Amino acid sequence: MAEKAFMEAYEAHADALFRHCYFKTSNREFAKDVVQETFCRTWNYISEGRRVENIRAFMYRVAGNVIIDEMRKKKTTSLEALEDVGFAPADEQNPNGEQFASGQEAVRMLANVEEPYRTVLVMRYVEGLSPKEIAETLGETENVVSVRIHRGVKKLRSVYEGDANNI
Amino acid sequence: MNDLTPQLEKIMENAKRVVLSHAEKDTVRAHVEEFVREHPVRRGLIPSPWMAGRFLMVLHKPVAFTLILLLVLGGGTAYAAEGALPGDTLYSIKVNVVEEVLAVVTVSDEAKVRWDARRAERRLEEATQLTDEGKMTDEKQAEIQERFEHLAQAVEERSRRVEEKRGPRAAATLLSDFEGKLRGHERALARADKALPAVAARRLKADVKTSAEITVTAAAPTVMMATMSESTSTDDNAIEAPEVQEDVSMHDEEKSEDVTEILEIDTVATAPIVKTVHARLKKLEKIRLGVELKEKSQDE
Repeated sequence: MAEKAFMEAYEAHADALFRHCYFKTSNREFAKDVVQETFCRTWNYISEGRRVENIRAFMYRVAGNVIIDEMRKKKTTSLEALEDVGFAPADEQNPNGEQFASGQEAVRMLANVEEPYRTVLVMRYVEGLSPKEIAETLGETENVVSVRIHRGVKKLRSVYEGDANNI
Repeated sequence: MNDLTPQLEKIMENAKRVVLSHAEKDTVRAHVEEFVREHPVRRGLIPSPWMAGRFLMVLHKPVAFTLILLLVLGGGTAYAAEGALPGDTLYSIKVNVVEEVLAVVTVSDEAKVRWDARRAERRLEEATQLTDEGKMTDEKQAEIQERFEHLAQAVEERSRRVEEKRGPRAAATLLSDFEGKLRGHERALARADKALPAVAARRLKADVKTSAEITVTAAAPTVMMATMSESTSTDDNAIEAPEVQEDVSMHDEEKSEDVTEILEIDTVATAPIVKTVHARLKKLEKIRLGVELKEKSQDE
């Protein structure tokens, strides 16, 4: 049954997709809406009888489109503005408490790494995907992904070292 | 180098804790479930014949393929794509459509080898051009390198088939032709690489020249006409003429240092590709020598 398989896909991918959107938009509520919209659009596509080869790759792409669409709607908040607002305020009411707090360091550090490096870093080191899987998801060649990871790691390191020096 | 330090790894591991809370996950799930219920899988729906995907799906694959080909070639896109470089919109049409179509329509193994060899060369020509224009980046380089390796590999494999079918002499000729061409490109790439600082300087000169003209025209509107006629005449030379520098004042020299520095950061030398080509040449030479040896033993 397609419905059941789809809800299983929800259980399997919702968190990773949420993280992906969260790191991209810096806004918890917004990321949540994007996840919901992404699943709805994906289901719309499937329900029309069309096939999806790689559901994860497909949903990452849909999520990217949803983010762009929503950003256009809310012309008032530009991407840059969102980036300036930062992460902290939206998360005060986070119910997972302490467990969540320790993730904040990564969130803050990654915020200092620009795109497209941030996305591949999250995919590689947070989600644990291989460069090949990332390449499939992003529709890039493996080589391009490797280059991005390599540069991303360099940037992340310099952010980390910068932090260490400031303390 | 490509790995994180243990501390960083741990921090990244912690990022996994960014998740939806149970309540949030359930709420979103409920919304999605409702949406799924409201939009059941549509069965027995008559697909509109005009939906692009379906329209082509009803046709047999070769027919669809030819149709696409006609659309593409007919539109002049293929022609326009010919000069595309990595990073251009039309580049994927050039590489994945036009070149692939030509590969499909070549029949004999020998012709296929020649076409693959030509395509490999085209990648190197693109690399040279990008370097010449100072537009090479890591990513473009990675893409070109990958495509080149793939094509060169195809040449090697296909030439083995030629050897089986047409004998070692035919294969040796193909291989040595390819080798010769690669040598030429290797030199051209190395040259472009060396010329990189000069390219940077040339671009800078052109830039500085224009900005200098702008200041002049803005400061003295009365002599604008004169400056304009002058600038059009010098513009033609701006790209090559070394004497342009004489017109440029002291402060440009200060600026030239800055700009060269910036260019060094965002242009990437072709060196890795040169290395790839070099390694490939060595391999090709080995294969060719082997084939030639067979050719000789056959003659005797």
